[in-house]
Amino acid sequence: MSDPWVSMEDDVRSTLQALVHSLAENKKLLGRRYSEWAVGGPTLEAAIALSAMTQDELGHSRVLYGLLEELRGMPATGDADWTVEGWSLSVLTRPFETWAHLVVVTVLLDSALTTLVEAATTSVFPPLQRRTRKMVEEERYHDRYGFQWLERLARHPQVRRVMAEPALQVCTEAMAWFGPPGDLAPLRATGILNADADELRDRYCRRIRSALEALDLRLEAVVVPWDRWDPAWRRLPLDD
Amino acid sequence: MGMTADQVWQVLQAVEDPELPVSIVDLGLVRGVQVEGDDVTVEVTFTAMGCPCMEWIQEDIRARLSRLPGVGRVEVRVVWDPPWTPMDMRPTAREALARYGVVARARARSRRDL
Repeated sequence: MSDPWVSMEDDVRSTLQALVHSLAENKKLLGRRYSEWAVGGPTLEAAIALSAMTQDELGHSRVLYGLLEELRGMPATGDADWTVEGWSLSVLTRPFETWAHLVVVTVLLDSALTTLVEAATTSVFPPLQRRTRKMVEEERYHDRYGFQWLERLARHPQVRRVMAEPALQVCTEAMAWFGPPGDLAPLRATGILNADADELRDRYCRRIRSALEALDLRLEAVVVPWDRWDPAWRRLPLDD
Repeated sequence: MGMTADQVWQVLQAVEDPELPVSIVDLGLVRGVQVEGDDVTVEVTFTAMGCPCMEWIQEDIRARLSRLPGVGRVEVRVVWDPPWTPMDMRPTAREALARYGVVARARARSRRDL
């Protein structure tokens, strides 16, 4: 049987490599942002939860960097390189100002990354597929935890209003991250993912609809400025 | 005559997850052992992808197996599928955890469901 990586078309290979790199770095930075609240959550339980979520994200990032080494035919170093290379989304480039902001990111961005990972659980590319089920399993808690906090905070009209602006920004960045319409089609066609960018966005929208509604927001309010999409880094331009 | 897989499993029994500490065999972290000639391959998984003891445990496995007479190359492969769940633990691990005050539920799906 031929090596699926060797027999992969160049465009499929480069798309997969960029996607994994982006996922790995965004998880790395998400872990870093979570860690800043591991000693600053509103309750002791919240701080401990964030400590565990930090551990998960950094662990996922390490495993994904291991996959990148494999994809590039490099020997596994076993050492995590924590340098930020430029793949990160804007929302992760600076600390979250409030706990409410963190909750918004957990519900609306962490879940976007998981939506992609879930689409790889059926992958025909074993090195990717083998790493995804455990990741999805661990992310179940992030989803549950984030939604519970969001519902709790959204009961207060004032907090709801504070959360609305970052929610729209995070949502826009997350939707853009899947890529413009038609993107990732070669990965779907080859069975590396079970969805292209449009399907991933649909799944993500279904996942977050109730969260947006809790914040008095509607999905229709999220408009991705595709003319500003940067295909090299799979994101909208970074904020100034 | 070289080493057998049974002998490798016996050696691995002494390797503990330092966080708990319980044998990695009893925890169900050892997914497979292959012996080919003098070379040994151990497939191991972890309770969490962010397990801070991954390197430590792998080093312990390599060190203990390498000390055995007649053992050549020792390879430790990290595997993630199928994901580890508390259902993979042997009763001895449950008993050991109970002594530390941790009760593993019979239907727990992950470490956090313990």
